[in-house]
Amino acid sequence: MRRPVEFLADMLPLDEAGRRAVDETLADWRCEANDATTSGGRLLVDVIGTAAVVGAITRLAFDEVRMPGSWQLFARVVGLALTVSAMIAMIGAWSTLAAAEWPTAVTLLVALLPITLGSYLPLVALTPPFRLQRGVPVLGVCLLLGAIAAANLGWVTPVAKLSFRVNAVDVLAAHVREAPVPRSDPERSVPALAGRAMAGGFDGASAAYVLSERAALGATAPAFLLLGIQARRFSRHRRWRHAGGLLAWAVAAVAAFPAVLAVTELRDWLQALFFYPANELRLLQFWVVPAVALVAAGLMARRSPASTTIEAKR
Amino acid sequence: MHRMRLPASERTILELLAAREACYGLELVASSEGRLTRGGIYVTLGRMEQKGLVTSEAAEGGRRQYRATGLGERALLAARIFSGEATIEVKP
Repeated sequence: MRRPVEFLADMLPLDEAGRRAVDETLADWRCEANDATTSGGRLLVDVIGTAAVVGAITRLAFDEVRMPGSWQLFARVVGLALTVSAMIAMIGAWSTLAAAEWPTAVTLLVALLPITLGSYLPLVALTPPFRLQRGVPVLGVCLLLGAIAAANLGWVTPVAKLSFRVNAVDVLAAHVREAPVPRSDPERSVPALAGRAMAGGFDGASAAYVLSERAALGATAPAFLLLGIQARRFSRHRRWRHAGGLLAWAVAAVAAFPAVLAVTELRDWLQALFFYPANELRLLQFWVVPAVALVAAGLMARRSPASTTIEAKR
Repeated sequence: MHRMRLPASERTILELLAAREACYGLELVASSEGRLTRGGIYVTLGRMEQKGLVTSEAAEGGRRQYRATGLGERALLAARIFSGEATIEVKP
């Protein structure tokens, strides 16, 4: 049990102090495991050791999240998500109506904001705080992100997506008289699916669709994070160590956009690149992320010294 | 003016270290009667080392032994005085 935990702990984006704390906790576990003679004793040591490592990681994450730089970045990402959501909501409202209707735009904005925020939050984890002199604190925001992403994918996104679709369809139905606008199958959150299953009204096809889409979206966010973290870890130069995470994020986001569409909607890859149904306008948000990430990576690469390596600084 | 705060966990560690020469983090947890946890001990010790309150040296098996520094002992004394647990006798 210790080796899988060691492997997972090794993959976490810890700074130097955090790495040492986790290593020492693991060393205690190793020492106690060597002293344990019975299988019951070894099991107890494993349980206590796992709890200790989880406790150390939680404590480190909590300390990092409390740092002022983390919250500054969080506020910036919220601001970016709000701006992009407002733009897309206005495009949605203005493109379907002859005259602009602010209540419609606001309704679309409220429905869209949780999805956009959930998509942009990984940027927090991969952006080093500029004003902090210590190592890049990303573990706390990564874990916070994981919790938010789980809630977002399982509950907020399905509810918000359904709300956005219903609103978009209502706008179209009210103003486009030529043909009736069909409503898509309602998307259900994990709690809603569980509730239906408990009530005996479980719809297997609907559940399979929702869960496959959730799985596809759920796999992209950790993939972004891992790509960025690995890029930063293996970069010797300071400028690429900082900017590399964002660059990887940008490339992954560009690649993931048609991939998500192709997987979830079973469309052709090329068609997915150019096909924007009215109620899929929200997916435009994915194109903003790589653009912002590329600009931020360029700015960071210019600010950081090119020739100084992390090893040389130590 | 730089003000240094001594949280309860750091004070507990300094009290335990004051009573012995040097010890492992796990020994501190065992002798703290539940006031320190395995999950938090090394995070706290790392922070105290950065502040200069404790020092450590590598031991076998990747573990480290910790001891209080002079600054740590003075910080503990100051904390005891401010909480009324110790007094300073001022001679005329």
